[in-house]
Amino acid sequence: MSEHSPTKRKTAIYREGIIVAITLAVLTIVEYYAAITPPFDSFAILMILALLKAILVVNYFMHIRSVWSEDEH
Amino acid sequence: MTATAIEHGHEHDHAADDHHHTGEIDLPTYLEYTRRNRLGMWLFFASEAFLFLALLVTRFYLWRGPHGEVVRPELDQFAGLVVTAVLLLSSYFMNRAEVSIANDKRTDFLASLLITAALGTAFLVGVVVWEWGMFPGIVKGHLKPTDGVFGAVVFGMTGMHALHVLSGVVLILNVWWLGRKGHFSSERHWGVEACAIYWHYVDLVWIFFYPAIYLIGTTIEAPH
Repeated sequence: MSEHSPTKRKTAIYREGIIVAITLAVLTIVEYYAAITPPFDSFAILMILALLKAILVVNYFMHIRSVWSEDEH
Repeated sequence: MTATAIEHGHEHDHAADDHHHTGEIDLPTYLEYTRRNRLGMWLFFASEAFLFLALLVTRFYLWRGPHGEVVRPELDQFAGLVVTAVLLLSSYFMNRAEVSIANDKRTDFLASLLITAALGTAFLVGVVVWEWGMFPGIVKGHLKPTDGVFGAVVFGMTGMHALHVLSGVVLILNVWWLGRKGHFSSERHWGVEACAIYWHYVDLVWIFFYPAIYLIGTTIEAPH
């Protein structure tokens, strides 16, 4: 089976969703503990963590690149 | 030709062509429709962002202590964390539904949609029962909408977001119903994609609302 076979590609897409979901969960837990652990409870740190989560969602779940991309995602 | 007919796959597939030639007028292909719809959807998100940004600005402008420091009311941290986790999990299943239909796995697609709708409903119940305390016999809420700037902002932000979650759940159930009747395929599933990115947008808004309401600032007693 070649490296880019449809089966492998499908598996990779499913795996990507799981990895993103786990990363979001980890970032949420980090966010929660940062908020109760001075000096990590600052506005800047919590907003950076929120921005990281937002980038993941916009990029992988909302497929923002498909707006200007010629290819189907 | 209507959008529904196109979604059904009744239109002859001219994806490789630039246009579908029908006598005098050129109809765009399904792919072109989808590209335009995507752009329209993102413009809609941009317009919605102003609303949610205004609510965020309101929160940081009004929730200030006597020395100008950022404060927040005492809220149920566990409830906040649980509803956030539920919404993130729902986003995963929504993504799974979209990937499944793109791979023609209809059973997985329908099941993932139902799980997403169930998790969205769980989020709503969590906010309404747990945080708002709408049923004091079950859980007594921390704030009322009349509790000054804290109550007004918490209910304004969570209320506007909950309204979007509710509309998202209705949309997901509609897509599920159409999916059961055989709509959508791996090549033609803009309806699913639109529903999915709307749901992820609702999640995106909560990603910023959660720290703004529950985590950022020093906790102070809300005036009752």
